[in-house]
Amino acid sequence: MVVLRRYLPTAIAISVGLFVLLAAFLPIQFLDAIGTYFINTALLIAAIALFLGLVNVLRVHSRRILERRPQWLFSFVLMASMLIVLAIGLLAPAGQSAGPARPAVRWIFDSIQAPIQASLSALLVFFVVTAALRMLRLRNIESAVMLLIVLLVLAGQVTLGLVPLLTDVKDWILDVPVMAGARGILLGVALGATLTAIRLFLGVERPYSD
Amino acid sequence: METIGLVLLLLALPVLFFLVARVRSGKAGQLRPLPAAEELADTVGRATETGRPFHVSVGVAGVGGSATAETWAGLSLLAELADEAAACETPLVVTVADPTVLPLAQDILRRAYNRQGHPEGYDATQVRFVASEPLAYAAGVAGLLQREPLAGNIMVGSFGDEYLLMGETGARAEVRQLVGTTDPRTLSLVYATADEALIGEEIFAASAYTKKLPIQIASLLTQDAARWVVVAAIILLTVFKILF
Repeated sequence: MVVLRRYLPTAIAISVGLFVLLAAFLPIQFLDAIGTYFINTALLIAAIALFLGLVNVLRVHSRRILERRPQWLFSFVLMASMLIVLAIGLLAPAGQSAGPARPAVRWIFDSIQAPIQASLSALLVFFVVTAALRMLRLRNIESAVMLLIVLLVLAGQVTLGLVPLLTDVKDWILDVPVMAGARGILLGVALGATLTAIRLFLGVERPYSD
Repeated sequence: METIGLVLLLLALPVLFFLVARVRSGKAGQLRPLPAAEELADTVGRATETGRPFHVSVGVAGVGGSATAETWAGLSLLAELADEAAACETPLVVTVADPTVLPLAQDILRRAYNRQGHPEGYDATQVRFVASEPLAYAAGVAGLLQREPLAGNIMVGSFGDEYLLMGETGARAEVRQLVGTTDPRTLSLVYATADEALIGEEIFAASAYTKKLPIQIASLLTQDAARWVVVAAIILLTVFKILF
């Protein structure tokens, strides 16, 4: 039983992964059909996982409310909002179809959720300023280099082309060292992801089983 | 193009097995130091000493999308941290942004508590699904970082600009933070807010530094070898382009 519990999930994961990988690489109709089937099954499981997420939110926040933990009122507002939106989406009057396309649900998203998210995005500006101030405190040689680069890029950006040399320096910094660094990181990430995939296929890393 | 990809993948396998043999015989080189990996153990230790929980996030992406590798790196690290937390009976809070990660993270924690001999320590609500929208998730985690007295904040996975809401809140609350991600734009925000950073590919290496299995070490050495091949190819092609 222990052997089954330990090795069966690994065997299934490796087999499914190999089928999907081969379907991506080799143009064989049989493999393609199996690969597509597995991907569709994964999408179905993801949809079920969303329901599990809903149950998790209910469990976590109902416990906070029942135990009167600090700021439990926020949990109450969250649960009430969730249940109200759910009810509006599911209980459609006669002649209207239920679901996210219902005008009332769309109004909630367009008039409440979208503005709140836009406000949160706007807040990021202030967060960037305070984070930049903390980062640019001269602590070591790295901070000094970063401060110098920031000042040069900022100077090139705010002169609006009035000082051509500064604009050229800014463009060179962004196009050469910054781009080279970003591409280096992305190449490393691609190699790291490939090796991680190999470790998964070999069953070395398997957070899904013992 | 697909065939070239498959050939490159298959070429990596013999190199990996060769390096596994060398690691086992003690002839392979050492892993380069990764200060952020040492911080992982320190975070659990600090949480155990103070009795305060630590927070783990595996990013805003799920399993099955384009950022699966990053999410998987976060989950592998969570498995290591959950084992240590369960062994030391240290409270641990995990937040997820994608519902596909929720059952995986819960299962990782449940098995960690079982392995360490006290399954009663596992609580399913230790893993919290916050929101599937990245900004809403970030706002939820920022609230958690501000509200709860945390001993540390470990975030490894896929993050975008919304990271700043969490990272800056954590920095203001003076929570010690270890953050790892792969997006170069987000990395600049990580550098500004985190105490230790796992940059790019390092997020895939972090779990190997804690377990140090021969095949994990060999895979990192294979990665380093592949990097040198890429560097050599870039230099050769540049010289070729200049000359001809």
